[in-house]
Amino acid sequence: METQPVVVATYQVTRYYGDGAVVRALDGVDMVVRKGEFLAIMGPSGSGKSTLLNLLGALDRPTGGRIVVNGEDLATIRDLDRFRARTIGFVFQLHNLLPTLTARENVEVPMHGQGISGNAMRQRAEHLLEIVGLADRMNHLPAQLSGGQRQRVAVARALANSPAIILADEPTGSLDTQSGNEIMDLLESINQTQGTTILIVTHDPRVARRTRRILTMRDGKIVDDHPVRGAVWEDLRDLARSRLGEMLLRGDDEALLTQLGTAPDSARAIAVLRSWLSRVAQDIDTLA
Amino acid sequence: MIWRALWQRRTRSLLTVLGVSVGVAAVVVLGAMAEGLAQGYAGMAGGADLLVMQANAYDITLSALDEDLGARIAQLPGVREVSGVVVGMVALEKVPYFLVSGHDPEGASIQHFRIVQGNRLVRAGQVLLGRQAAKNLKKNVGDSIRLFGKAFHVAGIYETGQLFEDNGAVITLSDAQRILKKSHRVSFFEVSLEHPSEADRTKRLIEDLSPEVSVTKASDLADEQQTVETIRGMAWGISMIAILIGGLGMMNTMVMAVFEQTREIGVLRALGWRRRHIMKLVLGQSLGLSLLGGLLGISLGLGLVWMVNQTPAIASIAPAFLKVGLLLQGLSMALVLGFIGGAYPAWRATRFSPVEALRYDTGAGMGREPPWLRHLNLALRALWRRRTRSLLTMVGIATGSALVASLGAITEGTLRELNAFVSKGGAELVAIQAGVADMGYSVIDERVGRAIAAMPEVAYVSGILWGVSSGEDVPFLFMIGIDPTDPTISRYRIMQGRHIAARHEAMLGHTAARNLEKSVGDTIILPGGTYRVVGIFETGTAYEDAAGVIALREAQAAFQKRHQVSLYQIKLRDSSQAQAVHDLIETRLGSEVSVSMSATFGENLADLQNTKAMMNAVFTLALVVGGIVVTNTMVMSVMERTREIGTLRALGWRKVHVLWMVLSESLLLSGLAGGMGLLGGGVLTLALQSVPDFGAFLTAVYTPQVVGQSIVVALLLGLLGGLYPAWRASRLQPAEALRYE
Ligand SMILES: Nc1ncnc2c1ncn2[C@@H]1O[C@H](COP(=O)(O)OP(=O)(O)O)[C@@H](O)[C@H]1O
Ligand SMILES: [Mg+2]
Repeated sequence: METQPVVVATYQVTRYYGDGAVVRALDGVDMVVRKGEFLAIMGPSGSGKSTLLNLLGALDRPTGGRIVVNGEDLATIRDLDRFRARTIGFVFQLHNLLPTLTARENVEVPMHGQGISGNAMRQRAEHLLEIVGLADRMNHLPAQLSGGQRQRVAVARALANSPAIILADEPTGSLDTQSGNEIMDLLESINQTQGTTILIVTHDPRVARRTRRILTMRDGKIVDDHPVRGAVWEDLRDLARSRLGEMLLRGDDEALLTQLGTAPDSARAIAVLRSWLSRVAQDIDTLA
Repeated sequence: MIWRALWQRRTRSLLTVLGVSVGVAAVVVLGAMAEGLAQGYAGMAGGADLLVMQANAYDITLSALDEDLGARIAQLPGVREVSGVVVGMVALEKVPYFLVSGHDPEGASIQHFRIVQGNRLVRAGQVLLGRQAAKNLKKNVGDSIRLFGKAFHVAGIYETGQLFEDNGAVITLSDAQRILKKSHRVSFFEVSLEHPSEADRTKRLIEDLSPEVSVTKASDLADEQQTVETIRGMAWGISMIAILIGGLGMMNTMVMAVFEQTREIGVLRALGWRRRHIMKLVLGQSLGLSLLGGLLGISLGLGLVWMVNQTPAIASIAPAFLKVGLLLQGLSMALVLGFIGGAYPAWRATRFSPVEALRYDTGAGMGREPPWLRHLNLALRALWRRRTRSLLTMVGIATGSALVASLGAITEGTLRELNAFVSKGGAELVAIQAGVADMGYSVIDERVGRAIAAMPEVAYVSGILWGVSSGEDVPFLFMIGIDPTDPTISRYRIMQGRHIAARHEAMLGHTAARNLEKSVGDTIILPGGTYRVVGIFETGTAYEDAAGVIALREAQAAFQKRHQVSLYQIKLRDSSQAQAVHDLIETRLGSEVSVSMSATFGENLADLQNTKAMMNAVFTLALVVGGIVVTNTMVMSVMERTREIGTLRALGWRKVHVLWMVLSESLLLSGLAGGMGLLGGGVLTLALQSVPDFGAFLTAVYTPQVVGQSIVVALLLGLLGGLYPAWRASRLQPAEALRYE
């Protein structure tokens, strides 16, 4: 992984809103993403996730700092439209499909104005819809599709111009667990088969765990960045960060016992948890 | 809550308010102008109690009576004073209709012209100018002014408070009789009484003197003028159309607002609001908007009224006169619009079931689109998706372009008719009186005709006299007097009976015969007495086919125009000499007549110029109101699709791409409406043509130019209306647009 080229790099990126009471939506973000990564950005609502994604996709300009995507400094790109069409694929929380267009036509939208013939557009759109499993829904209007299906059309649309990066802002946010899993399956297989770099914003830990790296944001800053190592490990990490975990790691058995009660096996349980947690904690320290 | 909603969508609210206000302003201005015209006519009675004019005269300015009648009226019991007055319309440069009246400097009628500057009128060659006229024409005491080619010395400036008079001029009676070709005749007599309360008795006494007169109480004068009726009707019609378009815009906005607030309405219903409350909410919004529009329209109207009164060309014929009633009318019109515009959307809002309304998702579409729609292009589908609104907008634009098409076609038709009218007999040249305000006022002495006929290049001249009869038997008939021995009488192709040959014979055009339900052998009462219908003719020219023809001598007597005609057709020995003879007559008789080639007669007429000026005004009105409606629709459509546009930009669409998408939608909308407008124009023309009396004179010709013009209006609307929203759409910041709710 370390040997892959860098596709996204930000240097002290800030984005402020308003002039009176300034909102520091992003407050000095540094991050590096390499080609082929499958990455989740987590954090509470209002922590700046969407703002960051918009900046990476050149939908918005930073107040300060530098953003380099695919080797190009965004500040120096003259044709941002072309950059968005060619390099970036967007998937939104609300599918944002055009309601008057059929599934196939929606997938063709980003190919307009890219010098692609009508026939080629059509073939590509059909191919992509087959990939996302909607071969039999090509000529349906968004209103005639289920939420999960609409989101799959949106994924196909994001793939239209074979972008280097897919930016997905809460792609499963408005779906049920089942449909959400299907979308994640789809994104995972695209990442694996086509090597597309994928950044997903989510606040669902189960979604985040399906990626291979998790960035955590709070108040416009990245406060944590760690690789995903499996379900048990992630659970322990969460425990390590809780109040209980803190007590365990501090060795404050008295407090623990008043919390948990003094059953005969409590002490034994505390000992086991502590040994596991200290292993994880070391990892967290090395990462930080 | 209501005002906040309107404020949040302020561009749209503003445009709606503007649309309504233009309609209201049209009501105010046009109404004021019609009122000014009526006031002007009323003012012609001066300070008199009774007005004696020619029976059957269409308009007081066209009336003529023998001067000697005055002395006979003066002898009737109860009559204190009688003064004869001559009025006429003169065409000045930049002022197509300039009212000139002739009064006896010693008489009673001149007394109410209060001199504010200079001196009274004392002798021939002097003129008094109304205060407004002096200002508009930039003339002062001591200057001179040309009327019908003759110079007059400005002796003084007066003010009467009557709009017409203050925009006109006064000369001596004898001068007026000379330049307006009314020797020994007057237009009307002003009669003042010993006891005004006995007006009715004296009225009957005067009427008994001669069957040729009609006596009007001064206070009734304006209402008895056909011209006033016609102008009032036109003003009403045009302002109704402006109001209609504004109302469509209003309804459009409210339908939109209701759709936009569908979810909110669902929430309110779920929270227990009654249908009645929802209804009130929506109606409140539309009444609020229309009230604003009404107030703005009234101020706009006031501004326009002021402007009209500063424009000599309009102020001299229809000075705007404001009545408080008119302002109230404009305001109530706006409120009615608000009510009608809001009622349908309000009803629709109450019909939403709460569950449906809550599920409503503007972005998702409704999935009820017919399959054929798949084959249409993007812009058409977008229009279909908002079909109520598209339809309302289209009807709005179509009304405007129908008006343009219909008026254009009628102007064109009139032009052709006029040219056909004068060139049918094969005459190369046509002469009418020089300096006359319009064809209806033209008077030429037969002496001039003889002078032209004496030229060696001229084969013969044929003079005709026209007039309008508006008696009780025949409410409105265009009359032509022609010498029965004139060879050009053959142009009246007989369908039944024969040509006129003797006195008291008339022939009728076939449309006139049908309208009046007369056939050969019947008798008909027309100016000058009772006539026997001897023939029904056809010429193919609407003017003539709706007219009655009598012998020239009888017509001259009936219309008090002895030895005078309205127009000469001049036939040359050698057609190629036309230009040379034209120039010759213009140099020799230029002060008497103005000569045109028959083929281009219509274009040169002042009448046509005036019609065209009116056309342009309607054209502009249609463009302004229609433009506002289209802009409004497109702005709404762009706002509604903000997220969509954000998405397109996020997917790499260029600004120009988005710009074109919106623009093409608006062009398509207005193009379709233009087509609809053409059809509507045809229907409107047919409707106008079926109006009794004057409809028969309307011929419409749809030249490619007329058709092109109305399509251009529509497309122009699309372009103008689409440009701002398209620009706005292309300027949307993608990140902002995606956050838009
Ligand atoms: N266009 C805007 N104007 C003002 N404030 C904004 C704007 N967009 C985002 N913000 C603020 O920036 C902060 C981060 O927003 P966002 O990136 O949308 O958060 P999230 O992590 O929930 O996606 C929030 O406090 C939000 O209110
Ligand atoms: Mg967000």
